[in-house]
Amino acid sequence: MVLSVKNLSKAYGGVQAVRDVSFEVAPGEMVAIIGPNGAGKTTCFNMLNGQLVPDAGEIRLGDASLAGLPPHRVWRLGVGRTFQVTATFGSMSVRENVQTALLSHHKRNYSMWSRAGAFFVDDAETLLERVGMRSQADRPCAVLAYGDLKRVELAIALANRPRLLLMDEPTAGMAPEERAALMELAAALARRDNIAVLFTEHDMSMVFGFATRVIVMHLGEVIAAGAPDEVRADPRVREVYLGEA
Amino acid sequence: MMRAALGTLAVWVAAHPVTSLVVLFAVFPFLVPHTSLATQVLTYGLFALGFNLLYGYTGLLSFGHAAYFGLGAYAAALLLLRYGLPMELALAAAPLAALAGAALFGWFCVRLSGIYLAMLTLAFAQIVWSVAFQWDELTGGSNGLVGIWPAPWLASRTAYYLLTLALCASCILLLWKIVVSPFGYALRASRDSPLRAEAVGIDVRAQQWAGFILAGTFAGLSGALFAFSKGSISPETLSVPRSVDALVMVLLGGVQTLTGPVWGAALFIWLEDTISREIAYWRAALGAVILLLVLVFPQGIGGTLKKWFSQ
Repeated sequence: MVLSVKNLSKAYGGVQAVRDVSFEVAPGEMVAIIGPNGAGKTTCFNMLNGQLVPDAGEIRLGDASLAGLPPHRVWRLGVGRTFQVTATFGSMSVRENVQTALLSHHKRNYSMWSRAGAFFVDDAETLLERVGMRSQADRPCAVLAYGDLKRVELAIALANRPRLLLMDEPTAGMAPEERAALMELAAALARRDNIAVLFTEHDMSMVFGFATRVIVMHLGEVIAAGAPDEVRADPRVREVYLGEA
Repeated sequence: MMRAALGTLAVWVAAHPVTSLVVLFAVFPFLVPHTSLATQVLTYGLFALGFNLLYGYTGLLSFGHAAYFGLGAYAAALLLLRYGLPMELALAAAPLAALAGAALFGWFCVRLSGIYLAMLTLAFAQIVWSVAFQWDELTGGSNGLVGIWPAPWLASRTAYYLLTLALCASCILLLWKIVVSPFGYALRASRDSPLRAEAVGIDVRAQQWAGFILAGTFAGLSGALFAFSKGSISPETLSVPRSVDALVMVLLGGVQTLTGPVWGAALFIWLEDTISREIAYWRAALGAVILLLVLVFPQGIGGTLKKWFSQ
């Protein structure tokens, strides 16, 4: 297993956002976490990523424990992340965004005597080529279309050759015809390097089209997990989430 | 013909901002009769540059940057007067005092952001000011310290100006290297998107702390240069208005432009000097002029010129 989560819990004040959540993700798998708003998906994600410290439970990436580590250390252990609202470096070009991630990966954040732009140009171009953004490498990130920005973010997230890729609502805010393209891209990249992918998603056609396994959360708990077809047929899932689908 | 020549010159200046700045300041004091004004422009220029590393590149708005200017100035003065160090050593050691102060205060400051960060920087600056103001035995209290003169070989205004120029030019080159280095990119990354920066392995707080310390060290050097150019310092040297001056210089010159703050400092000092001699209510007049400039050049002089030439 790449990722194994055991009895993870988190409360905000009196509200139990995540209760006793356990699951595992194997290399090359694409696992979707779904659930209505407030089910605890993002809280779960933010604990995996290091933005939140869990109240209880265990998060293991291979042999390393992630619970309570800050995001920058989680990344160093091999976890890439994309955000619901894309987060990139707006004052930099597309290539510089990827270079900055590569420089960080090679532990050069404190080197002051060399020119950043000269480093890892080829590696950055290779990553941009993979996400189809090489032709726009010189454009400032601030002027990109949203769909393109999502692809740049994917290239950044892959800069440290992650074992696990976390994608929070990867297709949120995108036009319907772009969504499948982005998911296909992410799936292809994950297959290529045997990366485990964990994603949350509201668009059910993306979930059932791309996930190899689905975890359903409701009110902070996991209520079902398994192959997409099993989950779709689960009466409890139909009741709380999929409605009359 | 004249216009074409001017145009070519302008394009060259835009393409070589650092070189043109150094060339200008090398001949500057020989063009104007007032060498001490030129020295002042350079020391404040360096102060503003360091502040811009913090504000423009690291994205931390400090209202207390004068504290590190003051720490440098007082350290230089005290090492010279109380400990009898040679002037050259006092000048070299002064930035280290500012570095230590910035390391201590910055450690707390980078844990906050936005208005809370600004308030904390202000609070620390007030503490430093109070110490300078009230510790009569050490700092001379409200009277300050006098007799802070440079070594004999630097006694002439021109010699001291050239020393200031050499140090400031080195610092500008250093800053220029830093902002395009991997370290500078990590600073900008932390400013643009702390969320993304952390998610690519950048320890945002540590990175910002390093930026804070560097900016404080440059302020310390400018403070020490200031002390030796004036011969005397007082708590006013590190008062809050001085911190605001740095912000005004940076805004006038252009945030996120490398040499903009120096042009901003030049304009500010020149305005202050001219207006204060001509007009009784000079503070109000200076404020009005700055307001006008900021409205006409919202991206600062550097930013506006850059925009004109890139079109």
